[in-house]
Order: sequence, then C-alpha cells, then structure tokens
Amino acid sequence: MTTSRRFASASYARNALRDIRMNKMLYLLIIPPLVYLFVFHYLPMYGVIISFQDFSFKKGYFGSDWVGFEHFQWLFENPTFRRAFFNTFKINLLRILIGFPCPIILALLINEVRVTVFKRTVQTVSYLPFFISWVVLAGIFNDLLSRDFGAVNNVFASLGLPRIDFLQDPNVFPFTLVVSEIWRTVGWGSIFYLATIATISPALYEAAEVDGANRLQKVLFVTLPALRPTMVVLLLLSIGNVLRVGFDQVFNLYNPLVYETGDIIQTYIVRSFSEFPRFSRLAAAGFIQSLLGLIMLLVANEGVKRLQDGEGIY
Amino acid sequence: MRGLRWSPIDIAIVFGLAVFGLMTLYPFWYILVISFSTPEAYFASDYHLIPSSFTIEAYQYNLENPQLTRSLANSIFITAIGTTNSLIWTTITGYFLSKRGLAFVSLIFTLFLVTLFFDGGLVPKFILIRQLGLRNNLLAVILPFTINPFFLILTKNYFRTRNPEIEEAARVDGASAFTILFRIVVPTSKPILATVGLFYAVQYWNDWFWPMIYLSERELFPLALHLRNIVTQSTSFEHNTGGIGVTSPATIRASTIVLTIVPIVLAYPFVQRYFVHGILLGSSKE
Repeated sequence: MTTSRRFASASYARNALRDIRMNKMLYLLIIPPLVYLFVFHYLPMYGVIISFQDFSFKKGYFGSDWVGFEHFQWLFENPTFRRAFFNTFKINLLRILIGFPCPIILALLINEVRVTVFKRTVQTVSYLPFFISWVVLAGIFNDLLSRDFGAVNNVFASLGLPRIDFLQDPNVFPFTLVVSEIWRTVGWGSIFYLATIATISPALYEAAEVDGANRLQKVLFVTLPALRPTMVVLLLLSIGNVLRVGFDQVFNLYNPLVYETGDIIQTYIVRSFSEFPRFSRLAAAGFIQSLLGLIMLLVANEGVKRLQDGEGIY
Repeated sequence: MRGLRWSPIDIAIVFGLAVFGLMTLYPFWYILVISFSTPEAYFASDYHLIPSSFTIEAYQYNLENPQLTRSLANSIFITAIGTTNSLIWTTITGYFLSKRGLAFVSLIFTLFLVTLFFDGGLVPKFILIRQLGLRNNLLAVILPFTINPFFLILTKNYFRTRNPEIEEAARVDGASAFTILFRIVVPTSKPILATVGLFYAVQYWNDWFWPMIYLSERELFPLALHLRNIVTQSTSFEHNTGGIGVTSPATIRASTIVLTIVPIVLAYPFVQRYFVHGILLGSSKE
C-alpha cells in the first residue's frame, strides 16, 4: 500500500516535471499570477491571527501579545456589534423574501412579448442600473426620496397621502434598502432566467397546445417547471451570500438616525475603522463575518449539489 | 410574428413593461434634468420631468474645480491601467487553466477558488498595503484587484468551449504558447474579452471603497470618492440645518453624478451586445 503510493507519487512528480519542461512558456506565464495570488490574497489570510492578539505596528505579527478569544467575547457582549450582527440577517432575509420572485416575474413577462425591438429595449434598459455604483445611486436617491423635496414624496403629497421619511425613519429604512436593491438588480437577475427559458424545447409548448393549454397554463406547466433548477441555484446562492452583500448600499444610504435597523457588520467595521481603529478587535469582527459567510456558502453549495446530481455551483 | 392579433393580455404586458422601463430610467432622467437646472428652478419643480430652465453653470463650476478635474484624471488613469493589467493577466491565467492536460491546473484553480470563499478582511489587507509602502499610491487600488476570480472562471470556461484544432495546428507549425495565445486565441475571443473588460472597467471606475481606505491625500482621490464626499457632506449639512439654507449644492451634486455616470452609459451600448452572450457561454459548465 505505502510502496505503491510512494511509487505513484514519484511517477506523478516525474510526469509533472516532464509537463513543465514541455510547456515551459505556459508555466513561465503563470508565475506572476501566482505571486500576485500569494501576496494579495494569501498573506492577508495569515493576518487573521491578529484577531487573537493585541496587535501593534511596533511589535508586528510575531511580537504582539496573545489575548485568546478576548476580542470575540468583547464583540458579542457589545450591543452595537450584536445589533449589527442581527440586522445583517434581517435585512438580507427580507431582501431575499421580497426580491427573489421579482426577476422571475420580469423574465416571464419579457418572454411573453412578441415585438422583438420592444423586448430588446426593455432588456437593455433593465440591465443598466446594475452597472451604476451605490455612491451615484445614493446621490440620486438622497434627492429623490427626501421627505420634503423628493419627487416620490411630492407624488404622495399630491395624492393626499402622508409623506414618508424613507431614509431617516428606522422603521421604513430596511424596506427602502430592499426596494432600491430590487430596482437596481431585477433586470440583471432576469438574464439567467431568460437564458434558461431560451433552452426550453418548442416541442413542449406545441404538445401543451395540442392538449389545449392556454397561455397561462403554458407558463405554469411548461416554463415554470423548466425554471426550477435555476431558481434553486440562485436562491441557495443568495442565502449563502447573506453575510457578504449589502455593504456598498447601506454604507452610502444610511445615517445615524437609522443605525438601529440599518447598521450591518461590515458597516460597523468600516465605521469603527475610520473613527476609532482598534485593529485587533476589528480584525476579529471581520473574521467572524468571513467565517460565518464561508460556512453559509459551503452549506448552500452542498444543497445545490444534492439537488443537481453532485454538481455544485463551484 | 406579423399578423398576430393583440389580445388584452399582450397590451397589458407591454404596458406593464413600458412602465417598468420608465421607472428604471426616471431616476437618471431626474438627476440629468436637475444638473441643467438653475437653483431657483430646482426648488420650483416637483418632479423634474420636463426641464423648465437650462443652464450649464453647475458643469462650469465643476469643470473649473481643480479637485474635480484631478479626480477625473485619477479615475481615468486607474480605469485604463487597471483594466489593461487585469485583462492581460486574466486572459493568461484563464488560458492556462483552460488546458485540462497540464499537471498543475486543478491545484492552481483551487488556489484561486479559495479566495472566493474566504478572505482576510479589511484590517489585514490594510496592514499589508501599509507594509508594502503602497499607502497613498494609486497602485494600491490597482494591483490587489488584478485578477477577479469570478471573471477568471468566466474566461476559463469560455476558452474551454473553443475548438482546439486551430491551436493544435499552430503548435505543430512551431508556434509558441505565447504566440498562440495572443495571435490566435485572443483575436477570436472578443465576446468574453469585451464582457470581462467591461466588468473590470466598471469595477475600477466605480470603486470608492478601497480608495477611501488606502488613499488619504485628496489629490489622489478618484471621481467616485470625490462624489461620495460631496454626497455625504451635503446630506449631513441638510440634516443639520433641517433642509433650510441649502442652495446650489443640489445642482452641482447632480452634475457631478452625471459626469460620473456618462462614461459608463456611453460605453454600455457598444459592449452590451457582447456581454449577455459572453456571460452565458462563460457560465455554462461544459
């Protein structure tokens, strides 16, 4: 057993060497990307150890004092961090709950359009906001959604409805986040569904027609079932990403009045970083976020694998 | 499909999608109209649907503001150098990873994949940049983002869908891997390179976060960060004064926003026809 394994690894090394000799140029070309990967991605991972230390630049990674789980304990006893921790889940689950069906509905509607020019135009327009950063969108929405001057509230007022403080009322703010994110990404999300719809065999629709199916029935019994695998993948993926998304949006839209419902882990870290940089403590907060994010993503990927005959997302 | 009769459902769907499209465009139109308004007209109009005044004062003010022109130059520099650098290395790495026969392909691919799942976080990255001496250097917002694993996967998958025969023929004729890559593979992979190039360019152009962390000198700020400073300052100002006494900043803010979006909107239609194709081919598992 051991001999054969040793033999196998020796021949593997021989093959690898031969492989490198034969493809010298390719291997030369891959050296800079590997150096890049090591320096900018793997070195910072090592930096995670400072969350178990009392890091100071003077003493460095090796000289700083070890403090065990002190920072983690401090964080979970700190009401601001705890609030941010739960807000992260609340906002993102709300986002998935309300936002998930939207691109599906949009794709189904676009698919029903028979005028190609109109179809293409709607698609092109719908992808556009995805490419605009939240800095810009926050600049627009601060104006558009403002309580006293904003166009949206002016519409409400002209209809005799009360003005709503979308950006400063802590009860409304999470919904502002969710709806504006849907506005930005619904078109982009529909691409994946439209692509799946394009692969459905026309024979299925013809068969349904022969069976006397009307338009709605064709959507319900042919299109939707065909979309199911895509839905599952995208749903699990967004659940897996719960801890990783939303920073750009929240950080650019929120303000002290809505910290109570709007502050998330990443905004907590970045705000503390610029106000009062305790490197080790913030590294610990980042580590919690990364680790939980990793676990959720792995669980989601495992779920996809189960549902798709062993094929994960990654 | 000519001659098909329009049922009420068709009309309802087209109407609904038209409303949706207009709602998508309205915020952009709104800010465009404000950017060309006089301050008086800004306060007089409720919806800014139809321009009631026209002035380029806000743009004049902005283009005479040295901070804005410097930020614009920084953004152009970061986007041009960053996108070129990223495209070159993503193409090379993607090409390498598309060669299934090579011994180290799966190992190296895994090394890249890991970075999608776990990252060191803000603080260790900041410490790294400080120790490399890259603080307040534009390279700090370019080099760490050379290869984006998502775009790398798209590129690799696209290369794998290519017909290997042409490359094989060139190899037999004695062409080196370098020649094959840049003379044969690159010129025939336009959809994916345009797609990934657009994504990188948008990423560099829109980035305000890492510049905010790594750059503290105003002369180095890109446009997005400059805009963020204007937006946050003015909102805290409006907040502090209850909205009273705010004069021209709204129109100047609007014109800065327009200047930030324009390059993306101009490039978008040209690349748009490639990217749906590029994404779908790249994201399909062969």
